[in-house]
Amino acid sequence: MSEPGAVLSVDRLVAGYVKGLPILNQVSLHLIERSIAVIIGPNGAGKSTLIKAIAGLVPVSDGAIRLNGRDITGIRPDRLAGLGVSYVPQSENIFRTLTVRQNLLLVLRRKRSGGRRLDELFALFPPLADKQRERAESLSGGQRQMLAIAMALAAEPAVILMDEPSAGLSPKAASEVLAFARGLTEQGVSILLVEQNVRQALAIADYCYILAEGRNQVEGAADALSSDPVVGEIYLGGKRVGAA
Amino acid sequence: MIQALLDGVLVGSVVSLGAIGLTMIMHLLRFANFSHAELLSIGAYAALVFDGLFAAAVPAAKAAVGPLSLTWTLFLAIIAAMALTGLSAVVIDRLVFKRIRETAGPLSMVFASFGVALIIRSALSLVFGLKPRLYTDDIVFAVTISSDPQLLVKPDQVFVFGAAVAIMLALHLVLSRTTFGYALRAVAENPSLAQVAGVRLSTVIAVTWVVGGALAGAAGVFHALDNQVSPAIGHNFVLAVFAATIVGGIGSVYGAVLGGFLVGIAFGLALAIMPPGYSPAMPFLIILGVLFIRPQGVFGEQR
Repeated sequence: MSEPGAVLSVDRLVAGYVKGLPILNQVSLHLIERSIAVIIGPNGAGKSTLIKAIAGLVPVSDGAIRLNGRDITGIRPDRLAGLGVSYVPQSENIFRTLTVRQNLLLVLRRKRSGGRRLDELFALFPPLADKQRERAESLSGGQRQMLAIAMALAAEPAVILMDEPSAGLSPKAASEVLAFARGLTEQGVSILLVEQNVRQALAIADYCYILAEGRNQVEGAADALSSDPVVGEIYLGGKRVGAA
Repeated sequence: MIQALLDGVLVGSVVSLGAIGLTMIMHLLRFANFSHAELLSIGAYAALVFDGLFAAAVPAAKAAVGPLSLTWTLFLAIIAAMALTGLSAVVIDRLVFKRIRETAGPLSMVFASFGVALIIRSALSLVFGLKPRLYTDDIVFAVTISSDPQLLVKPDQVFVFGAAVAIMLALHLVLSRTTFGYALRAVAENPSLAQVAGVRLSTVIAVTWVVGGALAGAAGVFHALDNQVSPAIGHNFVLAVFAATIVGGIGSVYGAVLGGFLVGIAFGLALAIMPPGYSPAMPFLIILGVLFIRPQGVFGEQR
């Protein structure tokens, strides 16, 4: 069932790469409009698999995914983009052999107002505007992540699924990316975030889901979980966030 | 020697057209399609049939175009043959390769491609016979374009070279200037990400077959225009197009073009400096040489 105010709902999802060997077992979550929900958990918990299953890249064998109440379970990834769900993979999230401009035009190709949207994106990401004619492989790590997020935004999504956007970035660039993600919610975008950088993720998130072994373990408001001693002990390296 | 070089460039333009589709499919679907060269045969025979049909419908159009042996009906038949060959490539994919890639691995597809090649060759032999055919009985003599060194070229060869280059330029413009071209390149680089970016994979795969098939069809007609139409065209070209693909780097359209010309020139030079019986070994030598020195090819990426 959809939670009131939820733009995205995942209901008892069972999914995995190999038939009969599910990685996710009955996972549920809700993403409230204009908010950030972060998914954390140990390696192998199924965080990335969950986000890929929502993006239509991992087969779902049971359960349901709803976007604004509409069942989108099993819909092809290319159609999901049109319905308002964008996905930013952790790595290989841009087309290296295309120029920066071509990467964006690829996503914008079916939009009537593609030219205007392209200008808006370049205004939002000035470093990309400066390098729009260069091949994307020439970008720095931070700029690549910027381009990946710009590609996600190009489709004017209701929901962005982000898989570890800070991975491989310098601490400064990682903070900037996460702060930028926070800013996007003010523009009406809702974000489901998988992040290893737990402290920073909890600082910008509204809600948090903790997964382990492909199942929901703990969930709650991000600020409450970040100050929870048990969660801090297990998931935050034995120290409570904000503890003296 | 310069004449051999010139002949090699002309042959290279045909090999390049054949190799473009092969490299696109090899990169996109990750399998070596040994039946791709048979599309050249399909194209050559399709043009023969369409030429006959058009000539029967409009006898006045059976007139030669300028100094060429090519007639207006054959000119139209080339376009129709490209379309039919492109369509044939999609049909073969739907009937054979699509089913196999959904249930088995790339190796099974390679073996299947050998079977498809045999079926196409046998079917063409059965329908049209083994006797080679000609598009026209008119003989067009070569023209001397230089007396020292003596260089001879047939008007048909100039047409074939010009048409092949024009088709390759058109493909370049599509790939580099249109969002559809970006989608093709995106799928070749990262199919999952392309889907996430809103690209429908099955459409791109089908279009790649159509484009690759159409180019192979044109290559078949262009080869037959200066030679003969026979069921062995595909068999004769299979190694050449593979060598061009490997030289250029799998997945690189521009590499396939360069590789095609290099293979063509190597063929031409081999005929000039070696006994005729040895020239068919050139593609093998080129493949081996490239694999030793630069396995990823000239434009290919290290994997």
